[in-house]
Amino acid sequence: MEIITRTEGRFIIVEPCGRLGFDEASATQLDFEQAVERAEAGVVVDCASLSYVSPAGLRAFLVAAKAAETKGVSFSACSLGSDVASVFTISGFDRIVPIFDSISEATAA
Amino acid sequence: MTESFELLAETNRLGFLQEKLQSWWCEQELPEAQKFPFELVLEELFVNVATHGNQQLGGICTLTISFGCERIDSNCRVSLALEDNAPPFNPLDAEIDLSGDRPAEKPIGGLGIHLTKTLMDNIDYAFLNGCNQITVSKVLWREEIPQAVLGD
Repeated sequence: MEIITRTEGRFIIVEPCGRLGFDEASATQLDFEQAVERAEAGVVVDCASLSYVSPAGLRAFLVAAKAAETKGVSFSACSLGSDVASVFTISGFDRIVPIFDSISEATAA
Repeated sequence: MTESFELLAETNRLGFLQEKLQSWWCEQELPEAQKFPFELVLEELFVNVATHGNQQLGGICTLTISFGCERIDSNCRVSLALEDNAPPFNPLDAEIDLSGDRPAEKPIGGLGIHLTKTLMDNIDYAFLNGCNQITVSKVLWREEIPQAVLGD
């Protein structure tokens, strides 16, 4: 899985492309945590190109969200496809990782 | 419409397992849009055996995995069955608390079985002949199932 990271103002935008399952979870978690370390205001995970997320993948989100909470920056996600969105909703992750329709909405929140 | 095979419960076999499901799904002409929950549940159940099961066994578990598709009335029920030789473990007995609304309160454990219970219509567990046997199934939406799968 390719992960593209860029800076937009005081936010770090992380874009995982492809599948986020058990095989990809450790590397993705590391990328998320590094983004949290660098972020001034917050991290937005752009899920537009994320086709699959499993419980192992969700754990990468959770660990990074905990790190962001400790640091005092935001950690949110945007542009979720229907399958990925359903996993967030069923697991209750939409309550701990704010979900937005777009990057601009996420950075404006 | 049923395919069964054996494999060792090693995490580096997950890709092979996912390819097996993909090939079988295509052969059955099942709707791609409804594959996601089965991919997720198969990964979860396999990884559980390949991590916790192996740890409890003190070695590498052997898994027998079956994919099944059967006509139910005018619908199609897809099932996944996994049988492993780890010590008895019923995932349905696990207490799950997903109530936290802040990251620090959110438990990491229990997500997988909660998703499995929610995404599937049925889950059955038994410990028979020295093996854990878990079967999950779900009826696919009729309107997206090709007529070839349903018959007449």
